[in-house]
Amino acid sequence: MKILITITLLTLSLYASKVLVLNSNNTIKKYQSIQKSFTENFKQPYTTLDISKMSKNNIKEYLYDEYPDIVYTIGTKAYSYANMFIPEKTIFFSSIINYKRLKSTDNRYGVSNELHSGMNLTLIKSLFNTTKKLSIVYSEYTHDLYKNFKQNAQMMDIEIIGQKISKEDSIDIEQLKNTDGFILISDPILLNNENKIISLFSDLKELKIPIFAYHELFIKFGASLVISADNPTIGRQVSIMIEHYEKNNEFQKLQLPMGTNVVFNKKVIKELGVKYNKSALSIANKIIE
Amino acid sequence: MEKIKYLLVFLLFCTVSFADTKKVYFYTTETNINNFKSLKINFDQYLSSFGDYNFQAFNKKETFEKYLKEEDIIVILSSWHYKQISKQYNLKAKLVALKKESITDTKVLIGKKGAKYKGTLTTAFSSKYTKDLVSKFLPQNNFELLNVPKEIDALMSVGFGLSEFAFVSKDSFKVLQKANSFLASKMEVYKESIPTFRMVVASKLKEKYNKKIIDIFTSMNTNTNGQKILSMLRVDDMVILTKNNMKQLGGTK
Repeated sequence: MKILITITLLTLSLYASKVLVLNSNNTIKKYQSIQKSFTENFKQPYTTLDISKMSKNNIKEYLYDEYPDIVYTIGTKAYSYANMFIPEKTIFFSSIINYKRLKSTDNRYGVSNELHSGMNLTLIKSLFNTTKKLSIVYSEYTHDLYKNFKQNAQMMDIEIIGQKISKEDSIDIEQLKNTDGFILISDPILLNNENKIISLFSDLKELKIPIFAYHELFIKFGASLVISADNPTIGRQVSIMIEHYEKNNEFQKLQLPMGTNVVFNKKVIKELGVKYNKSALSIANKIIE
Repeated sequence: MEKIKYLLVFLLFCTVSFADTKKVYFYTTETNINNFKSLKINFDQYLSSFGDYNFQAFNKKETFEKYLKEEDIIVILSSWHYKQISKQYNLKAKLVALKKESITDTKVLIGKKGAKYKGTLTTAFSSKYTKDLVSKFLPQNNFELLNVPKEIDALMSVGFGLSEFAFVSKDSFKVLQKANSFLASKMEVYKESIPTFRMVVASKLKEKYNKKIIDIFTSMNTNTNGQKILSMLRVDDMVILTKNNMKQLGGTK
């Protein structure tokens, strides 16, 4: 009986897909937490590799030697190398900013970095329940994101005031007046100049308009609220996607993050004198006093 | 010889210093806390103003239960868990969590209108707790469970078509209904549990400590650190259990 079980297990292991977790840099906290939650959740055997200190040739050799069936790449660097050296293989990805710009084929699956704009608006409305009008500054690169926000806001009776900018433009603050908040999106034109951002934050502070940002680094500039994707959830999502893939189940190839991380800057909100919904504060993962 | 003397004095000092440290053990399935470090820092800081207390959180039921054999402990746990083990470990419930002015909570299975029982189920509770409760409604289900940090995440995932079902408390659906009524209108409650008590604070300390325990937990809402802890536990306050509540909870008298 024992021999039969051993033979069955051996046969199964021969047919099981070889899964490799390729991490761009495991010392980066974000990548580390994604990998941790992935490995805690993933039920099949896998190997992990941190490529942060490896040369391009070493990475190439490793991928050729191991030749995994499935690679889960964390971060852009890991994705680029897997895509360059073993493009014929199935690649899952996460933590790639604007994944749409990457060259991808049919066997590419992943979770984006950006949350659904409806999720952002729902969380804003939960915490600031009198919100009626919000503003966004966008460029040609983020026009789609702006349109998504506008579409979702309409269903929630929120008006979005959009201001399109190009490289030379300065922001017209007058247009942002009389709004209940400013949504800061990851726009390359808007963010290409730190002084521009500092001045925008300072102008909005004077107008007592709260800023809703997408990354915690904006807290130091004075953002009132930060809504971003929850990293451990992303790792868990990818692990479930790979399981679905292995079982030939139907699943969405490209997914949006299902968990959020909310930082509520109570200190700034108080300074601005903005009213907020105290009973909804439990949705914040972190409150800055 | 001199060295041994010093060592003995040091050991005696340690014994005296730590003998009175009371432990506060925490394990609940109602919250999916992924930052125990921050919870411990805040709890230890908060408890330090009440005496020599030490907070310890567990993410495994079995490990948590091993520690319940100790005497002189305060325990924070889910009410269903308390019902199961209070007699075995001689735990006495003292307080219960309050949220939205209610000490009980109803869990619901929510999906988009017309959904079939399959696909991804998002939950902010522990996987085991979710599996156990959902199996009571649907014994033969094939859901793929995905843990998310907050109940509102579980609900928004369903609303925006990222997952098929969410297992949440009824209160959180009300929060979504207020924030995004359009999204909530596309969803419906498929199954509903009977109301159960929220997490409880129980004690194994001598009766003379009762007042102290009540003081510690009912003061949380008036203290900055205490408020932070309540927010992490996603509750509004801790309130004293009435005799009637205790009867309903079961366990020891």
